[in-house]
Amino acid sequence: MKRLCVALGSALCLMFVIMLFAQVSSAQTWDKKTRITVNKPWSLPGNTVLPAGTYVMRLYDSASDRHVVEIMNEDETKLMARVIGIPAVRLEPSDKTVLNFYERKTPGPDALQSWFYPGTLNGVEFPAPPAAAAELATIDVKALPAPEPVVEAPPAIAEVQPEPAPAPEAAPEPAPAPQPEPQPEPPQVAENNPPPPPALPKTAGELPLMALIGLASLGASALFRK
Amino acid sequence: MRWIRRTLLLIGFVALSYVAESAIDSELYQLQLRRALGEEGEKQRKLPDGAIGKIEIPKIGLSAMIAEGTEWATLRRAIGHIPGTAFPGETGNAAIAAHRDTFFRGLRNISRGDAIDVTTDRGVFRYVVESTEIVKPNDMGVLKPGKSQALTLITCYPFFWIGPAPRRFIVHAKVS
Repeated sequence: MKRLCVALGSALCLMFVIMLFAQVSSAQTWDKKTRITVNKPWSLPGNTVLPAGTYVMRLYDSASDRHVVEIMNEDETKLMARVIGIPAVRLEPSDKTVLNFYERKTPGPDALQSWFYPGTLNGVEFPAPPAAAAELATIDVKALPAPEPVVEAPPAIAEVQPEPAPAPEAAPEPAPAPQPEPQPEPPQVAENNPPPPPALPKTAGELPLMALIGLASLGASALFRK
Repeated sequence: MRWIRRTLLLIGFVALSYVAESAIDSELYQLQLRRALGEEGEKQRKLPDGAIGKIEIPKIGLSAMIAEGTEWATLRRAIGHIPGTAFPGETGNAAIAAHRDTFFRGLRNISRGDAIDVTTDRGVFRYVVESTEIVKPNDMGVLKPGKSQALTLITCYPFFWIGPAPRRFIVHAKVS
């Protein structure tokens, strides 16, 4: 009986030690951590310019403000920038991370405009830096390519032989439209999103089964005593 | 014969200890999060890492804390927020799941029009149940994000079933 008590005590201690180390999952999606790769320099509010490379974006661990974004280096060992954004909303959610950049007319690092995490309509917008805002104000809208006119087929006309008319004068050729300046390509961002779960979570607990096994075992052991 | 009896006794003791330990661990974790969130009337404090908030459904007497993730360790102690879905209070579909034999056992009695209150560190959000449905485990359409503030509760179905259940019980609610 003494050995049995020792065995039971050991099993109980082992179980408590195992349960002690059972941790709740990390808050990887609570902070909306996203790994991005940018292929050209980019800038953040506060005149922070980051070189091309791989970075980790995440929300600052703040319960009161969910619009403070931290940009870490690839190894998450160095904080590259911490910027304060404002709430942004989009109409259609997407299953991938979306980073928008301000349009630029002159060469230079593209300024980050907004960040949306996969599956959410709410994101973080970064107000335009003064330089980018000034450039936006100088963009010549007239130079932007106009939409092509829709050419409609002429309505069918009954067969009527018209009298031969004098040859019309050749219409002057329209002046070629001014070619807009090529816009700099936005930086390409490699996305590393959390894969969608293949199925709904397993919500069947093991406790009823364990309780059943326990009670059945105790009942059976009582039968063996008789 | 004696060793068989002792083995059975050991198995029974270990199994029931596991059940008791799970229940105690869950209660302690819930208590810790409740204290962090702050009781009514107190100033709200910062939630620990991984905690989302509290869900209350008066109709079925449910009041439990929500944590991030739906792994085994999380669902053992709390209701889990499915990663990638919106957070309660945000626009979109906030999906949470829990075991049918612990936190969500009472969901079988929920019905259209019932109120669901979710308290986070951003405030209290009241949802109203719009519908319930039973789907297959691979029916991911229930997680589809929408343009309104929606809440989706997920648990196993049938409710009285031992082992992995073949269906999922879904509750759709929208902010009132």
